[in-house]
Amino acid sequence: MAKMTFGGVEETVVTREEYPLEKARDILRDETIAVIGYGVQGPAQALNMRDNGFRVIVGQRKGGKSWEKAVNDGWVPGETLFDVEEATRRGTIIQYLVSDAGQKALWPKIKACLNKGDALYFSHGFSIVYKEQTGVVPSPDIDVILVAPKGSGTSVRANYLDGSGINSSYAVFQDATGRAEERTIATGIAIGSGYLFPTTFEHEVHSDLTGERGVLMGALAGIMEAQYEVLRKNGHTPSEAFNETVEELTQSLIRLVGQNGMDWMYANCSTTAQRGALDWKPRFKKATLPVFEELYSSVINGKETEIVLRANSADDYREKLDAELAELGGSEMWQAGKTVRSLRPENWKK
Amino acid sequence: MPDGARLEHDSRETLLTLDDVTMRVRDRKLLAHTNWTVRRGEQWAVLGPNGSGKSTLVRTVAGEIPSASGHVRIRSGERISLVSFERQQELYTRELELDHARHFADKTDDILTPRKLLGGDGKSDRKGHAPHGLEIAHLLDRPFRHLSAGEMRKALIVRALAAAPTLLVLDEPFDGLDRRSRESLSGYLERIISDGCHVILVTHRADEILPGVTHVLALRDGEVVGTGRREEMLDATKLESLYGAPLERRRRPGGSVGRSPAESAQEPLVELAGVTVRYGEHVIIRDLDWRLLRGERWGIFGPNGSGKTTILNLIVGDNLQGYSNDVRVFGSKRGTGESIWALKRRIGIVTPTLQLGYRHSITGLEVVLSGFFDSIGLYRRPSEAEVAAARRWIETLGIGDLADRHFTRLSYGQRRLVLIARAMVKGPELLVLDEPCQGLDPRNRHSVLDAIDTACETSQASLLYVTHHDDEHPHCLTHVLRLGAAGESATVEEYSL
Repeated sequence: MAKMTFGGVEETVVTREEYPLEKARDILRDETIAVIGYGVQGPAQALNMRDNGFRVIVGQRKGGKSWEKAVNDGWVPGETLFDVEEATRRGTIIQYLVSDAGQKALWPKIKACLNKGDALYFSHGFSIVYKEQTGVVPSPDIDVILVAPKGSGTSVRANYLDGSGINSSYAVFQDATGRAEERTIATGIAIGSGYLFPTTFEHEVHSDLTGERGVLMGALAGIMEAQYEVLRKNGHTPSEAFNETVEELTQSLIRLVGQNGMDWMYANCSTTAQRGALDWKPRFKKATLPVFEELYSSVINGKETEIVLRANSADDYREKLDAELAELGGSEMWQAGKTVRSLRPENWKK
Repeated sequence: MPDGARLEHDSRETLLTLDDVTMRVRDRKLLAHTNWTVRRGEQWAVLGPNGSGKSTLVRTVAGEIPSASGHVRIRSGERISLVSFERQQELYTRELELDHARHFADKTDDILTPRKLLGGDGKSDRKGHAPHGLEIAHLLDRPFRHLSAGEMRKALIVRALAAAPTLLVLDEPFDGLDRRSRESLSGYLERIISDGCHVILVTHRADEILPGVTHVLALRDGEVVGTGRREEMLDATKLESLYGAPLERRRRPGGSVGRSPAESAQEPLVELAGVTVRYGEHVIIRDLDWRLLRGERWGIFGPNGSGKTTILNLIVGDNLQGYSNDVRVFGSKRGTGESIWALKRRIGIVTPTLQLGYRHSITGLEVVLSGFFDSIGLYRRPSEAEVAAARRWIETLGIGDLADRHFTRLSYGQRRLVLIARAMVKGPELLVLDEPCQGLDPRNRHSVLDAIDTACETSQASLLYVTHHDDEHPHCLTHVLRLGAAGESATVEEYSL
């Protein structure tokens, strides 16, 4: 494994140069990989592995759109396409790629079909990390492993086909066979990963849950609303408030941050922006740090999971959710955004 | 009056005037100080070699790109519709980008179809019907991105017509269309011209200039080199000097015309046994038996939607139903442990879809080098020998000036030449060329066909070749697979001109 330095901290990374496809094929030569769930991640990983020459079968509930999609994608019922239980019985590495809620519901069936020495594979650690709540408790005689691609199913497939690959993290939760790690890395290469970063089930889930509740979505939407409100209260028009809060961020700034980093952004803006941003950054950090601390502990102690699982199982969940989303969508800021977007130059002629 | 303005005017006689206009694409200025007037009753064809600025000119007319200086004047009340390859690429790219949002939202069914593109069934043009032969009713609910290049083009043409334009700007509208569709489209265009619609037509083929075209504008190296009436402009000598090449490809002396390499053993490279490709009720290929022996050069001909591209994709590993059929490539049955990369390594490919796939900015040389890795984009470091080989092919095709330019900024035809070098660079055993001459001017068309013949003469490479034009057949073809309309049976014959 290669050592790479990230901001002065050394990490271990598996690269496809040191771990070529041939090696992965050799390690998995006697395995049948059963992909359970032909929804979003399932097709991408299954198609990539099949195109790489691995023995792959698909397990999917018969009838329905996903079954039909699998047939269109060249999976043959009775040969490479089975119902979920049959595929699980036939597979030696079982990729459990249904939604978090689906994993919980389907688990008793899956569990009954797993054989000693199988590897149970996840692309998200949720069900295992919160196994007391989800009930997904694999028996001790199977490997429990994870490869989490850093991108949607679309990128996993598209990057594979254009020859670039995608980066993934990988983890072993339970090693019953003594081969868990090599099976994990080989499967990571099989699905088309370029670089593989080691992690643990816990870290994968905790960072994921923290990220989406924090900077990626929760915090972002929250501070946008706060700034928008202040601008509006002080007489700015909706379009101006939206432009300064969202539009400039999404249309130019964040792309530059993506290419060059926030440090570059700070070094390459006007003096007025630079001075102010440098002075206000610590104040925002100070204000939000305790919220992030609270968020992280709520993730760690399982409270977040409990909320999700309880909400999901409530009878009126859909209605309540729709009402919440309607409120967000109907808010002045996001309604203003709709108009601002329609005025972008590329939409003038539409 | 600000420079670079786009103005309306009320003249009865003048539709469009370009007054000392200089165009700008990104940071490059093009077509400096262009003057052009289109008067009522005039129908124009815009001609010129690849990269001469034809698309830039008509996109400026259609208001897609701003002029940097001078004035564009359009008669008030004109409704301009544009059909162009850029539009097609834009829609295709947007579709791929939207996939991320769809997957995030778990709404993967919400994809663009011709029906959504048209906001209806595409029958609401000025006469109430899509042109005969351009019917796209059977395509309405298919994913836009799964349409063949010709089918996409049809959908865009029908959309442009549905807007009931008064000035229709067509940038290579016939590209990718089969003969019947081309004839229907040109018949239809003749009718709307006689109904009073004006047309500006960009084309690389003299035989595509509609009878109703009255005037011609000729471009070369980013400059207008001539405007005038059809009779004086469409003179063969003038056209040959415009393109710097004869209009007809000369038969090359000697050459192994239509001859397979003598020593070719009966080794099958590709075998299809009872192959059927279907999507639900829609059958694209039904029960096809066919094989290609090493050294054979096949033309695959047939109308749009007859399955030509599907056959190619089954062979190169891009059609997933290759796994549910009896498809053998290089002796091994698909789905028996081979990887698609092992197949791709031995096959050189040029297709319109591949060309759409290069969206990131890399140079012409890097695109050629990506042929060694069969990647779309360059993600590995090539060796010095590979760079040298790439440069040799760039030299052979006479495109040295494109090597260091950004691929996405090259003209459509220039990009095609670079992709041909990409296919050739690794010395493939099988060349798969899907309409390789599409979008090329006569000179480039001849160099591509010459290059294919050269490759066939100097190597054992087998060939699979798709085109809709009889004058785009390389001399080296030995066999023909002729496909009927979707799902009908195919015929096989020896090639003869």
